[in-house]
Amino acid sequence: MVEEKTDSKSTEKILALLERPEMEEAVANLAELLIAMNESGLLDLLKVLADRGVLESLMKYLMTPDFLRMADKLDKYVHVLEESGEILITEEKARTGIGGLLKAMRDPDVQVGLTKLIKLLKFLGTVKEQ
Amino acid sequence: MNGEKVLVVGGGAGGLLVSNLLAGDGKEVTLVTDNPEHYFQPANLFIAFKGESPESYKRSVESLLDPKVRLILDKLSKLDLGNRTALTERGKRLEYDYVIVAAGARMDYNSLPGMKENFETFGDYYSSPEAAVKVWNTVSRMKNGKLIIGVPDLIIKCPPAPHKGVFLAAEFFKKEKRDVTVELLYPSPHIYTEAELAKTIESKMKSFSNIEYRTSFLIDSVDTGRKVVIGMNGEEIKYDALVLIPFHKGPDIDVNPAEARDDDGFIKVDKRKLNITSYDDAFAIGDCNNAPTSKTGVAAHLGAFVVWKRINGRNAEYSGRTNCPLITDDEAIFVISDYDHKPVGQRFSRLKRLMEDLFVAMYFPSLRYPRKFEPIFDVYFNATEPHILGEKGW
Amino acid sequence: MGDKKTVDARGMACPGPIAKLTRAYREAKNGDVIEILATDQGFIPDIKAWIESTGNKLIELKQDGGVIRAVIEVTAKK
Repeated sequence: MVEEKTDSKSTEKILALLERPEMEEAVANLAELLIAMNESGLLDLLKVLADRGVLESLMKYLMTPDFLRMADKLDKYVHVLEESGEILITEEKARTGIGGLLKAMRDPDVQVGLTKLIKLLKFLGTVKEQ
Repeated sequence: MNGEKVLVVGGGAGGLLVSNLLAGDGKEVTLVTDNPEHYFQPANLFIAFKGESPESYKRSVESLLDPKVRLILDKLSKLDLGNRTALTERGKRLEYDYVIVAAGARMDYNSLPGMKENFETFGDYYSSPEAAVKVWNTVSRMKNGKLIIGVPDLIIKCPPAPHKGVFLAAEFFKKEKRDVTVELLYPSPHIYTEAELAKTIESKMKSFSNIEYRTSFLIDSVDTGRKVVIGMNGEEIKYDALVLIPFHKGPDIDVNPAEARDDDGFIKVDKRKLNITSYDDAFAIGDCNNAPTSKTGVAAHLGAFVVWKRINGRNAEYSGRTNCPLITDDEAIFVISDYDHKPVGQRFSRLKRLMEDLFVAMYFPSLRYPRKFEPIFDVYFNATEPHILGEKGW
Repeated sequence: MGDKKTVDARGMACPGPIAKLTRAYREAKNGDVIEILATDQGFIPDIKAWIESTGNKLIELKQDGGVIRAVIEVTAKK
């Protein structure tokens, strides 16, 4: 209840809106959409999703600090996964034996890669069933 | 107990939220506010530096209020905490069982010689959407020269807003290929009041060729004739356009007892319980209080929920939590801190910018239907507590 | 001998004691003394940096229990 009405204009505004010629087609389209959504069960599904409880549960599930940190760097993860993935899925013809392995280990990039692999191994060794 | 009379002062985010929450409990809520319109203040940045329309970010207070709330469009002039009465400018006398002051901070242009004249010429993005339009009028027309964003004082709402203005302005000038330098004049030794975040922000600023900044620059006065900013040590810096962040004072309410307000007029509160000094039936939330944390919408939001719970006899306390966004066109960081933790380390990212956009989209509905939106905010705030994000940051 | 003002910034989170110091400094004139009390540990490097970049004089910087006490003399105003 407003002591001094300032908003009686809003009713007038809504009526003016409904009187626009474009509204007739828009409302007709909306009616068709609503009928289709209702008949397919989509409306009921949306009602469930609109229940904040579902959205809240989904958010609670996702929003851990690790998820937030990972989502923050999504572009970097995608880049690394894309590059690594490309290597993993592409058929490789060249074979590397012990000699090749030792030679490869003289490459500074491979050496850095090995450091990363060792860090990864160390971490894997600490992963516990939680 | 239902039927209790609650007086809320101020139609900003804090006032609207606490009014809607208490009205939903069956309390008799009266909201006194002098502006019939509520606007989303952070949008002043979009108005000032992107030319967006103020209309997109305004709603009438009435449209954002539960119809059960009695709305009085008037300015509150007197508040008597002892007698539980208040008086409006037009002479309406109100009695209450509880009062919640959410009147915001008052902008003051008189504490710096030249500030008032400069404000009349260039506006700012703190005082109102209309003042922000003035900034856009200048920015959109500037072809070359220097735009200075000056921060004379650090007790301001949204501490990262000066930096946001700098980034958005610089990005605008870069996109439009204008030869304009944006310079930030900041009074603390680091470019942000928290040293670690200052490094992140400084690094971002350095990546722009058209951003300059001065730290420990204490603005003494402005010579609007010669277009020069004068520092307290006498140093002068020339500008073509100048946006000064106004001084912030407490709301202009005659409170009895006078000791309830500090020297700057902010209302003294218990920093966690948010009640006004020793009164357990009077509260102050948001920018108008003297809580020792940043002045930000988040504080008003969380404060509203704390006071709502306390009035209902539940135990709730404000942790001092902040979540101030510092945005550029594409990225953002959040200044996340509370009374017991300094700001968490941050990385500029598009994810955070997206989250900010989602918040803007939810803003008005979340004021009107706080109970419906609160679970979402709760999940976010809980997941991003400073002690949870910890040393690793985000 | 100028005026003495005390700035109590104990328990302050971001924006911190420098914010209150800036306000007190604005009102002050050369010769005044400002005492700042703070509990935020970041204040110690901050006040040192502030003194160095503004050119004012640091008379005392002590910590007693959890409270940091800095006393400065205003000398660098024009």
